[in-house]
Amino acid sequence: MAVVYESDVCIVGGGISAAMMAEKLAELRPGIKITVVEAGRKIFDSENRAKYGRRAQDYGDNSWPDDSIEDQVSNGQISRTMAVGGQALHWGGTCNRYSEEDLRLKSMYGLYVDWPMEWKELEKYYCEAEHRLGVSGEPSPYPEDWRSQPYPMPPMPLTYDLIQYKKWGDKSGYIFQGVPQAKNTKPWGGRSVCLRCGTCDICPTGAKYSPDYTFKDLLVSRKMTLHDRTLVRRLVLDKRSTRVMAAEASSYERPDEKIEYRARTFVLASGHIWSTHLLLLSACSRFPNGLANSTDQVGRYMNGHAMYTAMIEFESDEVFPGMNDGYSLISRKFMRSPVDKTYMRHDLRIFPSGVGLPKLRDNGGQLMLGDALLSSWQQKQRSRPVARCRAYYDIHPSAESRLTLNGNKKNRWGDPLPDVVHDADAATKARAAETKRHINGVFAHMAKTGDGRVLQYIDGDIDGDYLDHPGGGCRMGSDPAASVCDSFGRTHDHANLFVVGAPTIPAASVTNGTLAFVALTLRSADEVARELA
Amino acid sequence: MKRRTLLKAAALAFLSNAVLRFTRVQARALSPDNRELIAAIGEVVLPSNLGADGCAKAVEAFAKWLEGYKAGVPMSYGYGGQLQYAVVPPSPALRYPLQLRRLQELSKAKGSVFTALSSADRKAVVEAALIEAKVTKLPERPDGQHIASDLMSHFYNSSVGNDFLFQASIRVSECRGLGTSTARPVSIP
Repeated sequence: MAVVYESDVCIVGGGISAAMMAEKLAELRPGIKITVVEAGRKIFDSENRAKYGRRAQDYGDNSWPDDSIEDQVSNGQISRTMAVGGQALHWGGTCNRYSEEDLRLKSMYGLYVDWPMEWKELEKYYCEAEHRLGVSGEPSPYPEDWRSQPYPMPPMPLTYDLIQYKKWGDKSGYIFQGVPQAKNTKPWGGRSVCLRCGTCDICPTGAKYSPDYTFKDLLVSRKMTLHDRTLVRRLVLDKRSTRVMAAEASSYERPDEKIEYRARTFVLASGHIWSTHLLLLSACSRFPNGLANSTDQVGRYMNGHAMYTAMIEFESDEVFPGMNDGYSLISRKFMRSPVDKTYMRHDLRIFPSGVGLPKLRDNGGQLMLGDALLSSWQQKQRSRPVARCRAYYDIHPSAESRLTLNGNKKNRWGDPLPDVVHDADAATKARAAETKRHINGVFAHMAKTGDGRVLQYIDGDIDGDYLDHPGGGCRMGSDPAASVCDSFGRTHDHANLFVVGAPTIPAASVTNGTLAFVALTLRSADEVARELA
Repeated sequence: MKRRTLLKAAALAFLSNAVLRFTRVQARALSPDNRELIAAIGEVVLPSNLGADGCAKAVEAFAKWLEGYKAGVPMSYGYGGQLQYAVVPPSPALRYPLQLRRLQELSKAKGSVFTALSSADRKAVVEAALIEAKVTKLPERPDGQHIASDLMSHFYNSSVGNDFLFQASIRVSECRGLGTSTARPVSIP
């Protein structure tokens, strides 16, 4: 006999999308029963975060103890975090927006696909996402980046070092500004102001938004139930319809116990890998390729962006690395591409680059100790600072950019684990060389106009298979033959099954995706709430 | 399967605890007996304008760091593809006793114990030891390849060491507040 839990909404996954979904549903439909089921554990001991951060800095210890599950890892994923809070436990809080072009690739450039929604619609939810997370930022100087509401908080001030880097970067004619971040520059959401402790991976003050705060608030106010250490392994359909009836799960604490979650509505909020994986695992006689997969679209169009990097030294006043090095500059100059030229879009970032440890040997290979070593380091340091410049560029995935089940690799329950292989579409591959030339040209221009020189170009070609800020696998669209869900994340095959956040994005734009995932989730929450009315 | 998992977990816990205990014993054993010797190494490998007091503090901080070391705990993993579990390796301190003995052997060849040698001879001995240990660069964190390079690595990686290098009060390891971070760090004379 299974232990059965009943609720109005069962949210599978406990990351940032789940937190936002639960919070908004609790507001829109007060009194409904919401259950969040997360495979990883909850790490709510915020009183220990200063200590964890310090140990991470001093010894390299994991700053979020036991935040992953050893046998629940996929090839092709880029972080193994599996805990309440998800990958946003470790995030830097960067909250860049995509741009309108991302939603209109087909209609503007004849490339890939359009999103099944208008930019104005998404922009409205970007504002809501910024408000809920608490984003500090300044408006972009580029008019195409218009926004309907100001940022909730003033921008993070640039550190002394970043001021020097900005002076240099702006000489290129590309205007740089601090990246918007989900970090408080004034008290927000019951959390304090950032103190720039430099351990942003785990914020000791609570100034950086982290989904565990939302979950804690919801739990304290009894607006949801959280089952952590519980892995949902399969969704089960109602016998007489295509509605999802239950989610079958196993507990890491009580592995022999069968658990069943029954709900009116199911929301998959487990990120692009595990949401997609669960649909494939849920194959049944009526949907032999997996749920929501009648047109064989689940697991396709896995996406993300690739990057090129250059290390550039330049003339400047002295810099002093170590004053919150995680903060960086962005120029949105290249977020859009002229329609009459080769498609070319990317962001442009400047990160301070530390000088590293002193060298132990001189150029002749002789050991240097004591004063000799210090003198050598000071000569190097006093010369010129180095900027790490990076551009994310978009990769439009092919249908063969896929997540599949790996029959040779299974978790402790015997379920096949996911396997991800990325593949770009033909147009992306065709312009790859020109993309590289263009971006390296931008770096060279920055070096030249800023009295500097490129020390090193670092390739991030599309054949490397590493894509950052990934998504996809349950692509949204209006045509069921070419997509898994509609623009709200409602699966075409199952009226009460939603997929939200990262899995639904058709492509991953050219900059950080978390804010987009949250905005899409908040839009989905409106629709789920309508369903529950 | 349940039994196997339990046994595996118990074995891992036992091993980690054993390693941890051993490492702590080693780290403690190292500090009182050899503090004078390590301080003398510090005088060779750290800059002279740190002064005797600064050098002693650097050695003390290094010893404290060794005592706080926890071998076998999961390591930080970044965002970006590192999916394998990695644990903090055994304490570098485990390798120091042998290295310190070797240092004394090299010193004997110069005619005395290390602490009684002239500055030039001490420097020559440390250089010879580093060459023997095939140390080519400072490790990002002390790794046990040699105590002299580990001491330097620890110092220059520390907040105090960073401030010393830049001759400015950057205070890497401190919360600084938003307002003050826009200003040039105060110079340290």
